[in-house]
Amino acid sequence: MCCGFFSDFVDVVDRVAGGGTTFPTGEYFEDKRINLGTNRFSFTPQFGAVHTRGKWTTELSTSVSFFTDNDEFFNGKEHHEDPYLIGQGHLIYTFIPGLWLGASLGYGYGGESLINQVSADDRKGNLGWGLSAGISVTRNFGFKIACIGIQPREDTGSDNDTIPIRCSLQW
Amino acid sequence: MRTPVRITTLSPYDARCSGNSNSSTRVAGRSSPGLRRDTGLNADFDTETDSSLGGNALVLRPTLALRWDDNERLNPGNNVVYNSTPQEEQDNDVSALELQFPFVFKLTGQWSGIASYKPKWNFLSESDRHRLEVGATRM
Repeated sequence: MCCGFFSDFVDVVDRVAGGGTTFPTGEYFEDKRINLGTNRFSFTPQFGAVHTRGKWTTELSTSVSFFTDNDEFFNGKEHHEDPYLIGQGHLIYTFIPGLWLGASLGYGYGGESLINQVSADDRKGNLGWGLSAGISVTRNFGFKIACIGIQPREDTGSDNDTIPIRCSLQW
Repeated sequence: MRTPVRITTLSPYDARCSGNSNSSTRVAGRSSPGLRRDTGLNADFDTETDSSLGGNALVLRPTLALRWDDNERLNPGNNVVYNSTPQEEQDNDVSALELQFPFVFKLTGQWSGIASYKPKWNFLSESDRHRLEVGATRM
């Protein structure tokens, strides 16, 4: 049942497949442009795998969101959204318990809207990456630092970089 | 609503099972112009087909979150989550209260700070755990 290039030395492979559904229960008014609800169903099948070998851990996951049409869109129009695909991977190396480094890469693509069959030209294509490190100074005290970036590859989306730094104490 | 299926290979033990299904319902809104509230109920249903992979209980989590955002420099809030098993689940019984008090504050145009205190009380084992976190974020 093993897979991958380390199949002869695999310690643990954990695969999870699942799906999520959202229901159109949020408050929605056809005559308002912005609403809490979206007046449509969405279905998101997902697949993920975690592969641990010694000090290395690899995580891969992918999901696709499908949306039903909203035929009570603003001003009596019909809103359609194409499927949105997300894929991401994480590589983590644990030097010693409490000291680790991680690298992540992800990409989201699709989700173009059509209003009354006319494209809104808002297809999304976002590349995300991250580097992170964590260290536990004692059993109860530790630090974490990360650098996270998102770059749009299409005309929509925001380009931003974030550096979160955290220290935590527990008792 | 989510329903996972899980396959684990842990030599020499292999397991395949459908996991716990879970659902989440929430109601969000504003009690006043500067106060946002979010109440919800998360539920884990005992649908696992292999008890060795965890779960094994119907767990309900009522939640309440409040945020005050009428000050552009300071954004305090609090979260309340109660984990409970409404039925007798023997070894899998859960009764725990988690609180979180996050304070997010703007330092400069690019930097913001966060301080968060997160206590948790486990009523079955009569134990408690506390976590204090401080940090900064640059955007």
